[in-house]
Amino acid sequence: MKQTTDRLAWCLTFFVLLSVTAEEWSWQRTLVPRALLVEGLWSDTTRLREAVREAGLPYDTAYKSRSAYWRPQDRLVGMPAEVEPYRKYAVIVLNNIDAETLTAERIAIIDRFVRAGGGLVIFGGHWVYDRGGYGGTALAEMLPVTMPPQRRIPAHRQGLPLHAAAEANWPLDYPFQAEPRAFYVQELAPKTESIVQLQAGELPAVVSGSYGKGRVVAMALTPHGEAGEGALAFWEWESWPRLFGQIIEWAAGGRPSGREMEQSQDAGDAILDDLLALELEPDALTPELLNTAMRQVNAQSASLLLRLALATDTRAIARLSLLLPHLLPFAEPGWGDQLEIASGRFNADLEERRAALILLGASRSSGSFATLSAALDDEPVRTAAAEGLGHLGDARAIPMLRNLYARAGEAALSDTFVGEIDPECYAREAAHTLLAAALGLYRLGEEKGVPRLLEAHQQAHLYHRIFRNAAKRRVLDKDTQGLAIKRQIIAQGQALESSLAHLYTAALPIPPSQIEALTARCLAPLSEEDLFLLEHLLQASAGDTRFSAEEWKPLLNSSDGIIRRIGVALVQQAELRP
Amino acid sequence: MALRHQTKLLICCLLGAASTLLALELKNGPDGTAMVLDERASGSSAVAIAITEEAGQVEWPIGELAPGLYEAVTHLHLHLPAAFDHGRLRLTITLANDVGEESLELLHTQFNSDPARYTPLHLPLEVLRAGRQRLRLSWSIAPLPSYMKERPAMPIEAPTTADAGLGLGTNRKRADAADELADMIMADEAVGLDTITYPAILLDTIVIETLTTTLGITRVWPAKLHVYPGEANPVDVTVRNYSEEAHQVVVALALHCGLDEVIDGGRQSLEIAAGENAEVHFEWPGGEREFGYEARATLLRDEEPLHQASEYFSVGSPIWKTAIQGNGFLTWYGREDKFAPHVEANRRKYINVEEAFSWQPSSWDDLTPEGDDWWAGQNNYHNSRSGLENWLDLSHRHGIKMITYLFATASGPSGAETARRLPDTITHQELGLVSEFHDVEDLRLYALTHETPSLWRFQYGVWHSFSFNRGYLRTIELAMTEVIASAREFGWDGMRFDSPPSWGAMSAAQVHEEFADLGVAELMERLVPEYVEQREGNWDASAISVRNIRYARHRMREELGKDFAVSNNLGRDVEGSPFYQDCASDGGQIQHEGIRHSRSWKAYEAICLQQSELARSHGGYHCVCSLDEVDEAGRAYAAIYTFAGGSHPYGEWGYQWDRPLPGPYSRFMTRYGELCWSLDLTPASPAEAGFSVSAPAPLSWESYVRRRTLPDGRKQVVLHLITPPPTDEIVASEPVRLHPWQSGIRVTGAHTMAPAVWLLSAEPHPRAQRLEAEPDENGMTVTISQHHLWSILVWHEAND
Repeated sequence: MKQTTDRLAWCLTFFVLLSVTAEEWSWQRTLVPRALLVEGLWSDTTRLREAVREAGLPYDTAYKSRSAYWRPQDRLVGMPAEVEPYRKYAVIVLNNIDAETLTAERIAIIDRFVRAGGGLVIFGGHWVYDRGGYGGTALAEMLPVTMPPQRRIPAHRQGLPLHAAAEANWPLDYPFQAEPRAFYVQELAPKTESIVQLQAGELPAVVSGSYGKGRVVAMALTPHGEAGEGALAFWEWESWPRLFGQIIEWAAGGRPSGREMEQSQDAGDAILDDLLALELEPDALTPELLNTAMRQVNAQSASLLLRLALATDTRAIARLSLLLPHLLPFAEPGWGDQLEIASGRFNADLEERRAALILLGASRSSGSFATLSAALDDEPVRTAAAEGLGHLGDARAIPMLRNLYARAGEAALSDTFVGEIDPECYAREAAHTLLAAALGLYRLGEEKGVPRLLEAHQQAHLYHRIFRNAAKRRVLDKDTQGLAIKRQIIAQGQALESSLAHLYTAALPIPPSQIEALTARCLAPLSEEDLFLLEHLLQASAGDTRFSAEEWKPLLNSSDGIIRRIGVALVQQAELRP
Repeated sequence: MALRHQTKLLICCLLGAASTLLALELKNGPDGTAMVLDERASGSSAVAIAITEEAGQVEWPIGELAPGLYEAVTHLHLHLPAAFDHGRLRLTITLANDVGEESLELLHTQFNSDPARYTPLHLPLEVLRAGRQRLRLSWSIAPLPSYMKERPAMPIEAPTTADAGLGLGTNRKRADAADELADMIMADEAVGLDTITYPAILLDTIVIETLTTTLGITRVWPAKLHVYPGEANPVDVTVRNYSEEAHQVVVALALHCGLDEVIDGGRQSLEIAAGENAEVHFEWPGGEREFGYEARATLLRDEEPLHQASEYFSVGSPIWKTAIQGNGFLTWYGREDKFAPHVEANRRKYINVEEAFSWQPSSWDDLTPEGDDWWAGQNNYHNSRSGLENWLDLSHRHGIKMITYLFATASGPSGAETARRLPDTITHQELGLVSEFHDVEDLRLYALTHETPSLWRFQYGVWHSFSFNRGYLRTIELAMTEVIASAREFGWDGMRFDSPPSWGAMSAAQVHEEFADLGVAELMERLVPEYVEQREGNWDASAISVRNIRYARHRMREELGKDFAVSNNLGRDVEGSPFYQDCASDGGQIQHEGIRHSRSWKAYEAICLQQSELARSHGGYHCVCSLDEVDEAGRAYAAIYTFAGGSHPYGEWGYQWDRPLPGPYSRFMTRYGELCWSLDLTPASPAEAGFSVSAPAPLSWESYVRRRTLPDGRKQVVLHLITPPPTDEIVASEPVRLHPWQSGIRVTGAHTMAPAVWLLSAEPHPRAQRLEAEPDENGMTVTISQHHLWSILVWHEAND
């Protein structure tokens, strides 16, 4: 009875949410289709990440965490609860995730996402379909199968061999003769017009269908059980990641490309007029006006924005640190004097000093090398100085930054554990210096700039995960020491997150001096962290007219499916360019 | 308050039968003390030591003692207002010289709260080299445990006249010698007691009795604290020659058990050089008589006894019969050197069974860790192989039995993998599997954060857990296979089901299908004959649960021997059920964990009495977990109600891991536990047993009458006399003082023939003495002259 009531409540919530958010779905333009992987227990056994790499789908991840101390007890870490972030994805994979943990709000978003053409793949397990409380939710509507009530997933101790179904319309050219087997298969009944693509024994194993403009795949397979002697579990089958990747890629295939944002030169001119007027009437500067201006910066407006950022009347709103990424492409030697002053020690606003130093480097003004190299010894602004030196492009900075990188690496080492990093020391200071020095060297075109940047990024990415994970620890309210430690862990994790976010912006655009090294690096095996950074840099370079198709072509030889797919897109784009 | 004055101190030296009394007068007493006139003290005066600071100490030089063995008896009185938080006062008496020191740690529960009395406190002392002794009395005010409401330790008010016992008169009969000595004391600058308007400790006399200055037994050491019946337990006796010449002596060993049974342990001669130790080794081959033993060594010269000393141990199977159980040593990686002192402390506390709690990688299905170190799946303790092996080895050398914890969850990464491989063994709920915690990212980072020392502090440390479905026999089999393999690897003496192997109804067809799968159909005909014929419908919860415990016990005993002990932590919902009966039968232990949350002594007492009787009636042994929240007085009552009720203790009595069991109760129970735990004791009403008790103050006894027939045909009645606690609250909301000790308790049995009666008590130290019964109009009566909190009267009925 309770279950029925709950499901009625679900339906009600869902339809309310649907009506509230019924505006037309718009897609964000992406170079290649992108996946959101929502990982529940034993996702790794299913080799989900390998599968999307095989399929060449860049991905973001979210995962399930359950604690008896939380309310609600189950949560999805990293899965957005608002619509906007979903516009960039082509497919969502739910791997052992139940409806309650997803929440009605997210299910409503997924419903809109799929109706608009997004793909949805659901992998089997104890937390999906009927056992995942999908009944009575929009997920049940979306699925190409119905879900008989199932208290237990039936066991097939000998395993059911996987094979292409007779009605399959996908190309399934796989060596099924190896007899990959599934040991616990959920019983799903295909809906009319859905197609059984794969079977496990006689049971439907992979069923495809459509929902609105989108494609949905229900997989009855689970990663449970163990293969007896001489038997092969499907997840251990060599071809499994490729097959799973194909399934996900198919689901992603219904997603239309996004609209390009229109840019109006007229609007740009109007903004310029508004900015010029501010010199006479500084009080008229509003955050809204600034936001509009930042979206349409050109050489002329950049100089005006810089003046606003340095003027006493307007700098409270027009923060240089906020404007920095927008001003960087337009920095010029003429800005040097103003930036020298803004980056000086008299400026008590550290954030602004740092931004001024970076911009000073980018301005390539005559005195900036001396200022920046001196600032390398000034601890509070050291990282900004390193980054500024990268922008300056003066090879004299290379040994300085190498030295800085080496010293920061040594400083991060633990006094207690030989050869290991001291996590607090690293997160507090060393990580930021390492990232800044690596970034500087990368910008300067130093020969090891790319691997060093990847190394620094990989380390920071890993420690960021570790700090975020540790921040979940439960501390009782009366444990003041424990609370203080937890607060410190959270703060240090946030500092790492902030440095990483900065890196993703600051490493762009790719310096021409590094394009060859960068594409060459893509040919070697890539860790997940390397892949994350590289695919970000490559995708963000779509439309970068400085690079030719020839320069992107090495990517086509990458062993990584994602890099290859991005490479194809970049080459095509470059070749189509007039 | 820097009074400088004369303090009094008596040193009474008794050499053999003759005694020499010495009195020392110490000028210039330490700061913070005052000489007071107190008619209750031996010489009508005492020294008041101010307890007005959080901590402090005073010290007196007390003269020179020759090498030898002594016993110091200090008479103290707590001159504290009623509102003083007695439970927080920690006192230590120390006798020190240049070579070493002996200390006696005291809580207020060891004091007679009778305002008219001083409390004698005994402290043994060995002096190895002649030298000046110092007496030190130190105190501190302990912080309140976090679960107690904040309150001041010290009230603003001074002790009232009633608190101080003035006007109540002192009937104390002092020894003549002490009277004489008291007259010798110079009451220099003594002030009236009514001027002590602050919390104080009153120090009357310190009497140091010389036990020997020639030859003495310094240690009697049974190799093991517990042995199985028939298992040898050699006894080493160390003799010290304090004199300056060599001596030829004889050491005689006797093993005392029951109340009056004595086994000759042999005699050995030895010659000891001046100032040396010598050790003699007695091979005691063991015996079948179970329960407590006293290994008593007597030093003889020319057949004249010079000195005597003893130590206790117990004999029994299963280990639950005599269990005084500890648990502990969580997370030991990097602290392996702490095992030796930990085990030694267990021995000192007479803990004869210890559980390794949640030490394993997965609580149910991985008790055979690989590698040199690992992390426990439950609670993330970091443990090492060398530590575990050392713990068991050290414990076993002392005869302390080690049991493993078993909880029905697959835990940690290893458990998560089991849940993936064998999902049918995991409990299913409407959504998903039963998992208290799991976290995909934490599992992914687990290897890194657990194998990299610098990241140990950055583990999420969550209890990844999946609850096992014990409806399937293969789930039981999974655990038994691990327990057996683990016992073979590490040497466990038993195990405890922290979650019982019980379950609900299962389909009979499925049950039989599983029997066939596992090849145990024939075995089940023997193990569960009353259920095995049922092939249709459901096996109900009792059938499944009984099958499980019988199968588990069968597997363990078949492969690990009959002494391998099994404990079950059972909820009260199964009390008396067939499953409960099976768990208790054949010497199983029934553990009651819920009692740890008790708030009321009445409830605690009732549980101990009712449940231990129930367990015993089914052939098992009951044990209770230590209280989570308890104050100092409560620690004593937890012990008294547990033991008198017939139950056994588990844990540390509501204390932190490093705190001792309360007082001497565990030592007493090692020797005399039979009178509480023997399964042949059955409860009787006072009327049935024909007993009545009259006491000058409240005394609980009616629920504590048990009787049995001894192997020689004599009828034995055991009565427990318990002074009730001052409040029913286990954690008193206001400071409390215990009721005063009682004297003049009369116990009458409706008999005409003189019985043999023993009075036993753990307080202040284990003792057993014969009482003479006198005839009166109601039968035969004995009078108990001193009763602290708990006394046991053992009455061997004479044949009328």
